[in-house]
Amino acid sequence: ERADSEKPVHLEADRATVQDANKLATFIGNVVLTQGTLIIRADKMTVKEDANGFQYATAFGNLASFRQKRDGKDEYVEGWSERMEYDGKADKVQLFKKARLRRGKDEVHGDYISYDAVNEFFQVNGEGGTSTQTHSEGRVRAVIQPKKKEPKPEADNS
Amino acid sequence: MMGHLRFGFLFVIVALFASLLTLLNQDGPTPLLAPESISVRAPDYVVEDFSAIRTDENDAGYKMLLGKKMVHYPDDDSAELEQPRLITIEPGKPSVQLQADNAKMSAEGEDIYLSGNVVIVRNAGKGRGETILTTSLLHLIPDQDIARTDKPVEITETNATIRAIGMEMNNRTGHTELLSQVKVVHDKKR
Repeated sequence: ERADSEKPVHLEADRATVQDANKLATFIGNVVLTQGTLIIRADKMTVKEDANGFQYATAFGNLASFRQKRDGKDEYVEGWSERMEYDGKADKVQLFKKARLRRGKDEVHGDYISYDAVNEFFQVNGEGGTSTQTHSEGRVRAVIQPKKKEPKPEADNS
Repeated sequence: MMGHLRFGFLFVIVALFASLLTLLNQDGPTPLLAPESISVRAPDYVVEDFSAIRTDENDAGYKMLLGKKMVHYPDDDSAELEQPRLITIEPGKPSVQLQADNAKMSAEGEDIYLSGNVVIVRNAGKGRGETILTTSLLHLIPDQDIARTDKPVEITETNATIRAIGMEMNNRTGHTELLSQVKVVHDKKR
């Protein structure tokens, strides 16, 4: 949801390391980041912060996952991948390797998927040529459900 | 969130605490107790309601160690303090304070154990809010620039609160490890 980026970020993990030099925090083990309706789960996550307090997280997992409610709809977008990058300012998630995104009944697979939560726009890339790590041989697969046409109101012949 | 947390301030205060304590510990006043009556664990001197001030060369700032009581034990050259409190004032830098219910210092200040309501505060300043670290036990190893605890620790800043159980800070590597049950809440609007 659009309001998510204004909500507090809650982050839990088994342990964490903070490096003074590059201001990087690394969370390890059962990592869960929540911000409003957004939830990211991972085995490991690095988090940086910009001067305005926006968070930028990179999540790693087998697989890392994210889930976020769609704006104004009682429906969720979910995604999975080996690596996931979350931009708290742009409210955008990028999925790398074994990427899968599901929105309602639609689902796409690829090697790279980016999802822009503000505009609810997603883009899928397959990796050209043979790709060892995806069963889809680097090709994009999408299942887009036909939208049921709203029944036209009957013409009033009276 | 945690990324911009700089724990270096803790080490400034750790080093100061050790140095002032060692200073106090070296040339203690004449023993209050007659040597013959010293039992194995008897102190050789006690200092009460004390304050020790160290000014730096150009008198620009100072560090003050206060305490309700300090007891020195000759058998192992250790010292124990009640209500130690350390304040650092340096021009252009936020003041940093440390306090605890008790402190135990081994010979030469190699190990310092702060226990009971350990609070370290770095005042706001230089574009940063106040940072407060609290725990119930903090083991300082000044020579190795390490501070560690296995107790719950809480670090609060203007926008973030970090809780964990167990922490180890290494000023040489610039690494701080939060050892288990890490919980962070970061709120830009706080």
